[in-house]
Amino acid sequence: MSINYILQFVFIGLSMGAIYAIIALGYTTIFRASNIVNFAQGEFVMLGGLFTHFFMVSCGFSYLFSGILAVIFVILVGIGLQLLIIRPVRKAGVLISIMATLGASMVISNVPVPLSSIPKLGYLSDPFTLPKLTATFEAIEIAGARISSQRLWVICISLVLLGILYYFSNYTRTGKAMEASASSPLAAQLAGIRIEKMVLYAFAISAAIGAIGGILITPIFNMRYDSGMMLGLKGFVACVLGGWGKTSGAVLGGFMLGIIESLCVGLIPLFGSLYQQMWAFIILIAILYFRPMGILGGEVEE
Amino acid sequence: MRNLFRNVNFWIAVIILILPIVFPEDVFRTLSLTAIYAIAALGMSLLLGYTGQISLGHAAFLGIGAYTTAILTTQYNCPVILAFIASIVMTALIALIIGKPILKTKGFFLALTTLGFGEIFFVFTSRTDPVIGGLVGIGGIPYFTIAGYEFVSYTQIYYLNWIILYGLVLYSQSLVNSRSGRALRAISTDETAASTMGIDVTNTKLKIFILSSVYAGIAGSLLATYLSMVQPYGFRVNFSIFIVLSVIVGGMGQLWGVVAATVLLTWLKDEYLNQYQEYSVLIYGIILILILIFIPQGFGLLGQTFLDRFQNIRLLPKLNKEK
Amino acid sequence: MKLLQIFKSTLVVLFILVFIMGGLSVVFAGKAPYKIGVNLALTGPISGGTAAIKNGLMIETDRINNSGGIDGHQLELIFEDSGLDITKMANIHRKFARNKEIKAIIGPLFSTATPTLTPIADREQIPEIVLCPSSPVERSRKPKWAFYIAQGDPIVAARSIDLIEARGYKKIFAFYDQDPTYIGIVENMKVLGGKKGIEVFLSKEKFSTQDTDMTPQILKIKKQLKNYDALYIGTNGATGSIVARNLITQGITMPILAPHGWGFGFTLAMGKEAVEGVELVSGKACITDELDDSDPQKAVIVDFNKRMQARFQQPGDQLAGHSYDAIWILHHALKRAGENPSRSQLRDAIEKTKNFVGITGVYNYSPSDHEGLTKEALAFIKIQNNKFNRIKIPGLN
Repeated sequence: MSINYILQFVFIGLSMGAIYAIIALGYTTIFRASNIVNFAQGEFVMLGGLFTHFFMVSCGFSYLFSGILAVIFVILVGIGLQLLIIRPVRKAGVLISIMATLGASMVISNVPVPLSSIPKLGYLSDPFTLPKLTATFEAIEIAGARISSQRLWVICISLVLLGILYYFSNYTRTGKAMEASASSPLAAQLAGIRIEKMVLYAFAISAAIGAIGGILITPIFNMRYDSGMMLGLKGFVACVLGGWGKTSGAVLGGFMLGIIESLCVGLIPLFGSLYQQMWAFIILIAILYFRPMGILGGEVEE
Repeated sequence: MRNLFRNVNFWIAVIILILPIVFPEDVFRTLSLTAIYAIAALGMSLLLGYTGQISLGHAAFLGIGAYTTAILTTQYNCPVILAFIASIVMTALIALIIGKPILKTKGFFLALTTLGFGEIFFVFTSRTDPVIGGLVGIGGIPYFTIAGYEFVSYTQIYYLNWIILYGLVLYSQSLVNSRSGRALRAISTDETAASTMGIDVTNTKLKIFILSSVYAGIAGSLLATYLSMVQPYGFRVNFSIFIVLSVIVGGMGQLWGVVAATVLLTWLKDEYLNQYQEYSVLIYGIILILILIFIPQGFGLLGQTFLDRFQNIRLLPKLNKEK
Repeated sequence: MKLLQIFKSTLVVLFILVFIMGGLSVVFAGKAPYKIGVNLALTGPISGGTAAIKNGLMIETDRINNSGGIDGHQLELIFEDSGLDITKMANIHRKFARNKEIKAIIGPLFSTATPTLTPIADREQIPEIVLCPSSPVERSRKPKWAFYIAQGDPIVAARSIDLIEARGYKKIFAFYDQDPTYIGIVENMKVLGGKKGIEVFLSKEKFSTQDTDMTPQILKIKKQLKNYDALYIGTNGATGSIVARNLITQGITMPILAPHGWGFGFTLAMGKEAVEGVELVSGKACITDELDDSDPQKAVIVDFNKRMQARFQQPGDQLAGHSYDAIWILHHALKRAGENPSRSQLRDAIEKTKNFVGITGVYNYSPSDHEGLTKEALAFIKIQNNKFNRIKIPGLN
């Protein structure tokens, strides 16, 4: 078990971790603004990839333009989700809101199925992929471990996104208003901040970053219309791992989950790769049992 | 005798017994399956409706029951009835083991933990090949047999499943109306208050968790013999969601309400929506959301409200409808 | 007495109605259609494939019906969509089996489902034409009622070994998914290869069609790969394209061989440059224009392809070809079995299929062989310039 073998898996872990961090941040942003856990978060990621694919295939737009359009459309979906589904069930309690977002997840992930029976759109229910960001440049080698160019892009762009979000929440007026409405809603209202508007912004931002994450990750895997659920679940695990309710927790949790999961896959002989989808959930149960407040210490109960 | 005729249970028993005389065989294909789902939903009703614990991984317990029956009957030539009992034992055992740590969490953390457990079950069964069969699953499970009598036709299976369901409802009713039942309701209202009243919260929660899992295990075993096969995709999150939805639609804590809700939802999902082919899951999801938005309190209370209104109609003063 | 009058007149009316209806049914009785149940996942992830199957079935059924049916009986297909939900598939199978009017079932296309569905056909005693290949698991149960259309693992393995021999490879590393068909293929290859001095090593790291990234497994086998001449990726084209891409990222450039699951357009679409140079054995429908004139299948394949293009603007690929074979085998069997055959008579008739020139191959069924094909049904193909090109190997075509 050489260093570069382990390093290889760390690289993979970092790139997956970046995506988990993005999804986790999506959860946290919405939760901090509205106290809702949006289980449809993973769908934003899937839609980012799917919309881009759609615009490129059916409309013939360029990769860049399709990507931008996709992000806009996913934001619209996010806002729609909040207005049509989340808002009406907010008052009905934890169970109903969980079920509502799960229902939303089911609806969103199943829209491509009937659409695919429209002629010319048949490909929508098939697995899809996107071109790499830098098609010619395949992979680079660092200390004997190869990392594909796309994975490097994932890590870099994610870090940039996180940086932008950090600047936004702490240094711009709207960002600070969102933070305020999360930590003390009453005070925020007194200061003239419209909570409902902040909630909409939260959904829009979560949708946007989810979509960008989707565009980044689709070239690495074949995505499918039902890939959203699993990604969403892992993003949630990342939130819990890092510390629920804290943005720093989401980011840290994301990267940690990615690396731990990858190391489990790589280092456990035979079972590691066989049960690769399982490790994230074992980590979840372990964390909830041993340290439910997560690494950085977030909220616990409901 | 008068009391018998007023008893809901009596009339439902009559309906169950008489149905096959009125309807053709094909109806019972769906109704047998409905009973299986209802048994699982009934268990969930005790867990969710009475103690307020959200479990989104209950399909895994059905899976455990189903796979136990499957493995014992196909690989070890075990008689079905013994495998059935073994499934119950196995489910209870696993519920006991994972119940303790899992129940330390609450609210959406519990929902997530149970979901995680469900996913672990799915990954494990879909990837493990020897004995469990991996993605392929296990086929060739024999018909449910008791002392040589095989339940082959849909009508026979219908009777088997509904009689078991009926028995479980009666048992649940007695449980709920007893002292333990009140303890359950106390827990779902406020755990701290309940414990100060001398209710052993942790143990009670665990017991109900195990009981509801046993219901799911029974349902799973019946499912295995009904389908004659088991495979990992049959026990996933959407199944768990369906079960929770049944409980919500039936009205939390309404026992026959849950059964009625299951009948409606199964008919909706498996029969009525089939005509919409590719739109079926989409429409199902939309209906789910609409139910959650507009009638989150479900049937039971809705039925209650309707009855109240109906009785009060003569008592309302005439409203001035000018303008 | 008014009541009695009403009663009498109602009775009279009823009698007349019954008479008319009875009479009508005798007049219109004609010949009842032969009903065949089709159990497919028409929606969901494999809907592209099942659409091809459905089109193939319909085009041939229409052709049969337009020329008078089978001895005057129309062929009626009853489609049910399972949405790739295996539980639903089992339900549909039983539903068809319990419907006395249905003579046989066609389906499923999903090879992961067959080991659990064929026992249902056996138990309910209804002939089942399975569109996907069988596997050792299937055969060990000795199915009496299931017949397989697609190329089974023994012949794919045999043909793959032929290809390996022709290329001079001595050591092959087999990396495969957990589907029983592919496990069957590589295990057969190991045995057959052993007899010819070719070493086929079965990888301990496996993957599944659900996986979206095989990089972890590839990393684990990377070192071992250096000792082998070629890599055999035992899975279908969609999953295979992911493996191929992962290999390129890891800088692994050894020759790649593949089974018939790669012989589809979507392999080319999803794999693009990653699958350039891959050599495979596959059904002849992939390379319609390059078949020998002396090949009895050529005429059938070319004609079918033309008709599929004309009506659906789709090629008559391997899957549509399976439909063609299924319908015509049933057609010939129904004719052979006589007037309105029972299910077991139909089953016996199918077993008597000899030298049926289909698109997947030339079929010969028997009570002991429900797979009907030999390795000659598979052609050698190389992917070049994002197209399937035929490889001609002297002495083997």
